[in-house]
Amino acid sequence: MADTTIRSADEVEVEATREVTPPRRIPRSLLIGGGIVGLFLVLAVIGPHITPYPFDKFHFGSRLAPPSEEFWWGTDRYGRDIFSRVIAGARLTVLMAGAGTIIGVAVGLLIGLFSGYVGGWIDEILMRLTDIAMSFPGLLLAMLVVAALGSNEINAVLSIGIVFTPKVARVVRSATLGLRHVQFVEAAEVRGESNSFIIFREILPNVWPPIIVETCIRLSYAVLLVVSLSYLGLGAQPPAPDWGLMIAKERAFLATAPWVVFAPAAAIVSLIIGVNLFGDGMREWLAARKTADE
Amino acid sequence: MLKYLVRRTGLLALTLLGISAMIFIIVQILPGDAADQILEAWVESEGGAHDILRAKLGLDRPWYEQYFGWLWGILHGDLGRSLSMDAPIGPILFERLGFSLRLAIPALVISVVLSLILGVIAAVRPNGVVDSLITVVTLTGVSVPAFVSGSLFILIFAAWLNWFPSTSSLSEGSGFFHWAYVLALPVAVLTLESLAHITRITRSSMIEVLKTPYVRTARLKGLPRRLVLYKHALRNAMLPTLTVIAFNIGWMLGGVVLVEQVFSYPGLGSLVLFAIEQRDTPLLQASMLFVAAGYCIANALADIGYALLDPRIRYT
Repeated sequence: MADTTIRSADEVEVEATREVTPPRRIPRSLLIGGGIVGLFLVLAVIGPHITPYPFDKFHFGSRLAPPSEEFWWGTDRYGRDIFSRVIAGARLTVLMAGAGTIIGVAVGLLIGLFSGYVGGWIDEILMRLTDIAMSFPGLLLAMLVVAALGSNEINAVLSIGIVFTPKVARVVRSATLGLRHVQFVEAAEVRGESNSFIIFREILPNVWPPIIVETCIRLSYAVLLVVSLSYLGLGAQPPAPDWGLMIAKERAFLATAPWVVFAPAAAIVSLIIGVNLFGDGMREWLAARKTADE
Repeated sequence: MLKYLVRRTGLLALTLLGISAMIFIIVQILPGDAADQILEAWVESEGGAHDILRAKLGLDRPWYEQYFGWLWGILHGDLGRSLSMDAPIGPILFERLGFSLRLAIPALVISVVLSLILGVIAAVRPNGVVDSLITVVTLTGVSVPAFVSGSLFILIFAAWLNWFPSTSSLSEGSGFFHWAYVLALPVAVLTLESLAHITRITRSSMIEVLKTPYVRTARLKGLPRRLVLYKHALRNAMLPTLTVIAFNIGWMLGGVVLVEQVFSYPGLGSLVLFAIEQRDTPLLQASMLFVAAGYCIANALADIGYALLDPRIRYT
């Protein structure tokens, strides 16, 4: 009896919200953010093929040349065309941030699902380990890992994966805990399904929304980490057209030739704003969908 | 409260132990050991010199002896010896820590005060003009890495306007105003970073709190608006904000590394980077432990502050 009263109260509330939120309208921030991220994805694929000059070609005649018709965003101290470098560099940043996020989310997902479902002392140990890993500031943990493995793109990607894993594991674990005792999971247990069946077929399909939101948040941090690591000389190495690296290497010419920093800075900031908008919009959209579904 | 305090301190000690183990393990993966680093320049063959130096540095001992020896030393105030500087690490670390704190503490204080005010202003009229303006500014703050804003600040305020120096080299003994002059730009960059995060959280939790019945009651019984905002609402909205402030200290430590690099400032962050570049393992180990410990202690303090503000937490 008590159960039915609660349910009807819920339904009343759902009905009330249904009137307020128009169902399944895609938020504007999702569209704008998606557009910006999409643009960078396109650049990542075709960027290196559409640059006016090869990104590493020296034009010794026009070093530190200001923006002009010949060099749209000017040239750096070796006379390399900055526009070409920024466009060609999109692939590096997008790939590194994307790969780091995928590693972190994939490993964190497995750990979180397993830890949350199995529980007991295994859960306890895994969660204490994530506590320790999370008590490092992210950038410093990434620096430590890169210091141990060596400075290059692949190790920078690995370090981002390592920084993200405990955070994702935490989110996934708490989502899994919420499903631990729902009826369809208990029914599967009674049927005698294996742990991996329950985790991947029963629980996983129901934890996607928080995972998607977390992935978007991670992606924006990943871009930040990638460019920060390469700025510190712990990511891509010269002559790679990495945005963070470009700002670090041309720092000395900031006062006389500010365009050396403008273009990569603009690229970094617009990519991060795009990812943030996309993430915000995604969260809003999933929340609206959830209320509409219920 | 005392019970909570004891439990939280115990947890802190355990976390620090775990962190020291993790740092030790990761640093041990580093290819080559300290003896290789020292001798690389002089001795080419892997001869007797290596073994002698290894024994002298204690690197021939099994790993657990090295780890517990390291811990034992730290507990007795001995942080080890830097290889590249050939000097005890302790004094270097504390000197660098002092420099970093001179950046971090003003930035933290300014950003907390400012962001509480901005957060409240934004929350009073959500989606109003002022709120939208604050949202745009904070969103940009979250999206701009410290080294980008730092470079732009140097360009605008040092190169063009010539108001502040572009590098924060320090000379001891000069007065407060010299310090303020030299550190203005890096502190501004750090403030901008954490300001954005704290303002966003203060705003959203204030909006939630302002919807609650007790705030309406306080308003309806005729209390002055300001009193309701700052005493009834903000005090309760502070809870999530406090966590974000503690969390921000971690961000700030990362930001400090970048900002110190941008302004060529000799703090803890640039010491970590120096240790990585020089492959100075004892220095790297000690400085990383220092930074992580600072972060954990800040978190523990925030938790205790949380418990002071909210009695419910003490009993769970």
